[in-house]
Amino acid sequence: MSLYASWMILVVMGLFLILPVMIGVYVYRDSESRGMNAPLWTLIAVLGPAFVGLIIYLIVRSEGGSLKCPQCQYPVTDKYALCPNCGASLKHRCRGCGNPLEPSWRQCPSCGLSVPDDQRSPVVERPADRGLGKILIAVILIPLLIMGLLVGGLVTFRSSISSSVGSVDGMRIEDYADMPVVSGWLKESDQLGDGIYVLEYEYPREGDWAKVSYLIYRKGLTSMTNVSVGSSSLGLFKGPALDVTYNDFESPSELDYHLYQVDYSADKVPRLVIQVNGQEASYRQTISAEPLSFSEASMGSHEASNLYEARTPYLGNASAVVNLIDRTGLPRFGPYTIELQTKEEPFGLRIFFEASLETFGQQDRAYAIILLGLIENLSYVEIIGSDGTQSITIQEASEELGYDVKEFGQSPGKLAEYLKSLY
Amino acid sequence: MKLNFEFDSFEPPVLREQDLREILEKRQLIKRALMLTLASALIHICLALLALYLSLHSLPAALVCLFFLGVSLLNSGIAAVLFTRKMMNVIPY
Repeated sequence: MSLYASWMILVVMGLFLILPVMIGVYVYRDSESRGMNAPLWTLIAVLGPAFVGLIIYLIVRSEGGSLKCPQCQYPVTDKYALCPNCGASLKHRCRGCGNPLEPSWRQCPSCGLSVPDDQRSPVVERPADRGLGKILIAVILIPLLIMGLLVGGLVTFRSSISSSVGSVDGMRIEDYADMPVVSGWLKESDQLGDGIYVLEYEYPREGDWAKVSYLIYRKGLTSMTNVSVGSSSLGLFKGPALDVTYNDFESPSELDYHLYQVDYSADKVPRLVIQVNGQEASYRQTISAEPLSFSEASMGSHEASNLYEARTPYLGNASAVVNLIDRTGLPRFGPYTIELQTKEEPFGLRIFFEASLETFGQQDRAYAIILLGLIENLSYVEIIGSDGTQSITIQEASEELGYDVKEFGQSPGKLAEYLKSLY
Repeated sequence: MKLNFEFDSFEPPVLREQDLREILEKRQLIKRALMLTLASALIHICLALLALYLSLHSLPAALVCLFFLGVSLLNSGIAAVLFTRKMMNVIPY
């Protein structure tokens, strides 16, 4: 359970507890002042489910309680004719026989004389019951507050199914030649015929974070296909889903298969949903005992072509710049904003992260160099975090590489070579 | 049909402070009981929402909450039925 959820539950429990405490204090004081059995009524009011005890108490409590002598403020009840402390008269008396009169009487029960209107009002006025008003406001407002918190918590939970998806498209069977588990699985799948096969490996959990790799082998392709991946929620109880969608084209494919690797990280292991041309497809799943990774050489070439495709000649093309940054590993530092210095040369790119750059390493510097190489008119890159700035110019990058950094933008081969040198 | 009303031939009901005070207190009691009933319904909704929220994090905790909700609803129902049968005369209207 996350810290946020623990706090939320603690706050809600605290709010739930406030109500019985308030009711208990009120009922104890009130019943004591009315001469009732205070502990018993407090227990009934507090333990009675959903305020039933309090409703019963309000109805059956004696009406004359919480009265005080108007002269000496000594506690009295509506049964007293005189104040036991100062002797002041607490009731009107019959003008015929002097008998104490109740305010509701119309005639004196002793002598039968009619009671005039001016003697039909109580001598001792009952004080307003303000404590009850506050409790009634609290019993309405606190549940509304709890409801708001819980609904907010549920909405936040639904929108915070945080996940990260990394995928590699267009893999060849040869890329897995040095992995017996995968190559064996591919051979077995081939024997079973056309269809969709999934090899899954779940990494050991690191804290609350789960990581799963899927290798999806679609056998029996007759045309080119485009594949996209995304994560979604199947609802509160079903958890997250990883959606892999194939859209086939008219044009023929040179290969009769498609291999696709997806690495998914989230707080829960997702349910894999594969769709082919808008229809959910069934697949045969195998669990692997070993991590799914293809050769490093392949990784370099795939990453290089992915980055090369996103190159842009102009720094002013902000969306292309963001697309390129997203393809590097820099977004690992979290959300960022960019600032483009394009008023006068040298043109510069500034990337602002809210997070710290404490873990900024050689790999991240390499991504900054790649940005310099793939944005044609870019002269320097500044990466600004909460605790400092990392910067590199075109000259520094070229000196470090031993050749012109802009060669990255001329062919993917140079970039692939550079990436391979990093692994 | 006679439409004229002879006001002089009827004596209007006598209004006394004490009677009015009693009516006011009874109305206040009904109002308070209605507010508490509404609060009771809100608390039950809160418990249901809490069970839903807990189910996302801990199923046993959610089941305990649901059990408490069930017990609370059952007890409320029993108390309401008993109260209506035995003590409804306490509330005159």
